[in-house]
Amino acid sequence: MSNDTEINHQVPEPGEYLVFKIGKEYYGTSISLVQEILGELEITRVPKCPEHITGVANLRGKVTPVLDLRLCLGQVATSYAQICTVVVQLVLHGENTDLCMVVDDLPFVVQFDADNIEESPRLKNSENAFPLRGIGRKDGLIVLIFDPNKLAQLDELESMTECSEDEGTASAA
Amino acid sequence: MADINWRKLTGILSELDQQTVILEGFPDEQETLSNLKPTLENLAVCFSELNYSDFSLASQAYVEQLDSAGKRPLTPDGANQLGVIRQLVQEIVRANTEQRPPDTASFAELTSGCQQTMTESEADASDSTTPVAEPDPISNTPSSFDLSQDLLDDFITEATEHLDSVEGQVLELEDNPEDNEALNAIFRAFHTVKGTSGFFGFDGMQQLAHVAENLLDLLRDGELPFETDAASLILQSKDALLEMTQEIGPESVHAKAPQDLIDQLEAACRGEIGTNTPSAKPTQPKDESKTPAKSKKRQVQREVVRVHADRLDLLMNLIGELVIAESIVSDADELHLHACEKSMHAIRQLSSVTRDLQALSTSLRMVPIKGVFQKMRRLVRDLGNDSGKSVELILEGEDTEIDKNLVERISDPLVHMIRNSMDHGFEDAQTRKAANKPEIGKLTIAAAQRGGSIYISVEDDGKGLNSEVLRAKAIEKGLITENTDLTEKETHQLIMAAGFSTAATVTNVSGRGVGMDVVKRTVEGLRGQIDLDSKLGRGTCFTMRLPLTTAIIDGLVTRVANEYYILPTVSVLQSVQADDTSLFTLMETDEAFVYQDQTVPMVRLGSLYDISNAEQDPKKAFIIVLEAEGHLVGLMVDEVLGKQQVVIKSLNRIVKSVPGLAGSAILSSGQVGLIIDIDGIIELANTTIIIPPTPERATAHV
Repeated sequence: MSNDTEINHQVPEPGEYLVFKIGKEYYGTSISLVQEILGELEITRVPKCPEHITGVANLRGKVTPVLDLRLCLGQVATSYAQICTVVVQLVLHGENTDLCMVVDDLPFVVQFDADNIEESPRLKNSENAFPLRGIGRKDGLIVLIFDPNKLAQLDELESMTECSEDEGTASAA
Repeated sequence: MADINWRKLTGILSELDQQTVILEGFPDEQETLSNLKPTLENLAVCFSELNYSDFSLASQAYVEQLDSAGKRPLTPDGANQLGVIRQLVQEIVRANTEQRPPDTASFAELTSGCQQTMTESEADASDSTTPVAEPDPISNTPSSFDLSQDLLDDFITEATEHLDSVEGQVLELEDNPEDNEALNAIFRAFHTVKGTSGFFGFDGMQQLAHVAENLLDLLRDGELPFETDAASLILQSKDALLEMTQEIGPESVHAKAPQDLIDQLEAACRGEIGTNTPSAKPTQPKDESKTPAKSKKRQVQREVVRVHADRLDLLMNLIGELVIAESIVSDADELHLHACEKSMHAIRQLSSVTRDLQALSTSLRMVPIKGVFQKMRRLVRDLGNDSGKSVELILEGEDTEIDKNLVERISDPLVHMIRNSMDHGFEDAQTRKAANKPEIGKLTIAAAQRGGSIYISVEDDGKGLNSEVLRAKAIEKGLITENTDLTEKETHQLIMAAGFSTAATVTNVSGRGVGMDVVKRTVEGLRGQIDLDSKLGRGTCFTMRLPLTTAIIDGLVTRVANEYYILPTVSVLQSVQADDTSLFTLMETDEAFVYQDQTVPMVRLGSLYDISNAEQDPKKAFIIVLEAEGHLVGLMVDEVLGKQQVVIKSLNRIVKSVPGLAGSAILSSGQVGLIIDIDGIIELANTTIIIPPTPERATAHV
């Protein structure tokens, strides 16, 4: 229940969003958070981590954690069309941190105006950890908008481990 | 411009012309001053009609300041500002005549600069030799704060420095009352603070500094003797001023110095010293010849440069990256294959310089612990005076260097431990005499570096811990039961359990059951340990062991499957290869091997971290013999790649702390390696594999 209040009461703002495919769905995040988009990075596994944290990567001398978004969403890791890494800059504990998110296929930019964005509908599993902020719709494309900051925070609270065990009920249809 | 505005503006201009001329000659001409207000108010209206809202606000602000200044004369700054306003109006009028846009850019300062001046008029007005004059609270005035923040920062830094130096000097003076240089230095410090605080309009500070300075003046002229009371007063003044400095904010102009302190200072100036001391104050025989570790106070002043901490950190990061880049270059195969001798020579030179830079960088982070220790002198002195106990403080190893980040964080634990000793450890003079101990207690604080750690100990020769009392108290607090069996050492450890206290009366901080467990947690938070050793009747010694956290460590790079793990070389004894005869299993679950006639438990890193494709056959693998806490442990890896210095990069962002990992590092190949925390690995191994308590040979098992 508390997740609801946290997630849904602020409709994402209109603007440009970086959209990427994860499995069969499209997810997006505000482009202001995106630092860069890279191809496949060499990932060093870190033991004893939840599955969706695939490890860390050397990003120009900075050891940066890598999150596999499909695993975050509880989807099965089939082969990727083309692995891309989206690097976002977050603010955690008052500090700037980078986070790498691995996605399927090349991301692209979509402009959402106020009419195209709405709150995400109540989800069945409101305890579910994936922090959806809203839904953007344009020209038949449905994009599930989320905030990587929230994703990272949840991670810290270890609620994501449940997430990777759910199968497919995670994302809104 | 509309005609009506034009006429208004020209009218205002001629008024301003006249008023400024008068006020230049007669800044206190009351009629003109009161005429200024309506002029400026009209101007404000005019400005806003002409869409110069900023200037309109500035004019209004000026009016407000005039209001608050009341009947006081116009300060030179106020006159300046008025002049600027006049020039602005003139420019607008002229521009209109010349049919060009007015140059308002050069008057931008008007909008920001107009807040300072009125308060300074008070600072000027108050005579600095009448200490009792209280500044009128000016409610409206934004303080002299828009003086650039830089200036203010400088003031804070310098004042803090001056005041900090006072403490050391006073303590020195107490030991050597003839030391005129110290006395002069203290005088100068207060004098400077008085001056600079006055400049900023911090009247409260100025007043306090001034009275203290008076006292010091009398002292250095020899008109008053320098005694403990005078010293205490000076120290208290320093404390108060320091506090006021650190709380500088927009309110500071109104901050007042504590009146009772001022009263005491004035009384002291009149020779009425002694109003502030606790009655039961033992005379401290000046046995200072017995403090060997007191380094020469008048040490040679090495030239010191003040550098922004941020820059220093940046420098160190860059040097760290340089080290890595250099090693990538040096290791490059093509270099070794194709380079000519000249290039190789240059590369070697590069390596050498980089290594030196690195050593230098490491040393930049290190500061002597002396600063922290000296602060403790004051504490011991004050606590001693308060409690009436005579304690001699011995400091050892002041020159031991620790990472500058550690410096702040060990201060609190040290204070707690000292308070503990002072309050609960040391007996009072009579008790000590009865026990045949020297009346003056001895408190030794020592720092030393051993191996990869720094040891800091606080030792007293007080009454030591009483196991029975501790045990009883612990039972009472429900921490243990009657039946709990504890060794003496374990009983002593109870003192660091949360909520524990045996003090009959609660003193300042200790005795509330807060001190020692906080110390323990703080030390553990720094990845250190705290130990205590106590003998009833003889004393107690607390020892903190802290890692020398440097950002660069020497590591042994190892490989398991395709993952790289780095072991801090400081813990590595040797790397060996097992063979049939040396390896065996115990109770079918644990493994061990023989190393130099000892049985050493063995842990497979691959199993511990679920590394697939790890080498399973111990005979084909390597065992790294590690030492931790005096115990040996063997870690099995696939391959040992060599030693490398690496920059530690924290893992603790989104990747939560993993047991057994101390961080990560970028290897010369560009790959990421994970740094092993030996203690953590052992603990992890303990929770998954049992390490046998007694080394016994079981039958060999292939």
